Amino acid sequence: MPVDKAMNVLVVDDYKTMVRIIRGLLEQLGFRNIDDAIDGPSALEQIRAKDYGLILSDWNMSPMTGLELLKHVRADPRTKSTPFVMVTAEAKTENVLVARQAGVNNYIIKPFTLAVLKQKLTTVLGEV
Amino acid sequence: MTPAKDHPIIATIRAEIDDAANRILDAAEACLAGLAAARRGETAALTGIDAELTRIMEACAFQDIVGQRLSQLVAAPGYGAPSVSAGAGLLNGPAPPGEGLNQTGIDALMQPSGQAATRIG
Repeated sequence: MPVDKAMNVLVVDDYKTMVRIIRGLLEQLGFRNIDDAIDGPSALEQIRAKDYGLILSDWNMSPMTGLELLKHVRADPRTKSTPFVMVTAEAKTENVLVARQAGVNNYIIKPFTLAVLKQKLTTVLGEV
Repeated sequence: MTPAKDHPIIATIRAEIDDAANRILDAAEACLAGLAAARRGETAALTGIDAELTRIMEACAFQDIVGQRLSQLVAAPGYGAPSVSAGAGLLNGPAPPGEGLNQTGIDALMQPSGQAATRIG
């Protein structure tokens, strides 16, 4: 079943360049309604104000890490099932396992390609 | 104090910047060649330009990675102020070359022996 690419997507990363890259790659995949946030608290504000079909978040941010953001998202009954993909340079086994335990839907290691992004989003959302 | 030029993180940064610059230049040159060919009437040459421009975007991720490595360097013994962060055990930044999981390794951990990579809908 094809994915509704009109869904609202939120990209969370404290590096503006990475936000631009992810936004550009998502647009290449056909997504058009892409918001961004520079940190966890502002991401949460946006998540509480709008329904997102997909959240992509960095991990290593402050004052709230991507893991903490994920936990907040999963703790809210309204967003507990919102697809959440971690996009991060954190590459230790324990990172992946902790994120998985917290309810992440997929995990992309930086740097990544358009093909990888498409593959991982397809796993989570259906054919992208 | 370790001289900057000898620190392994510096060497990694240099290599990653060098790699990104070359990938960007390769893609830019391919785009220019494609456009030149298209102007000569070889419009089929345009079909590869999207992919080359995408490669440029992908290569620009070096800015994030190198930024994180610089943070690692600042936190390294003998450099800058020691970093203090709660939960630092999970905040390591990019792994040194050859260490850490690659995407294949991560995908294996995310396989549903339990749950994720979970399909929504």
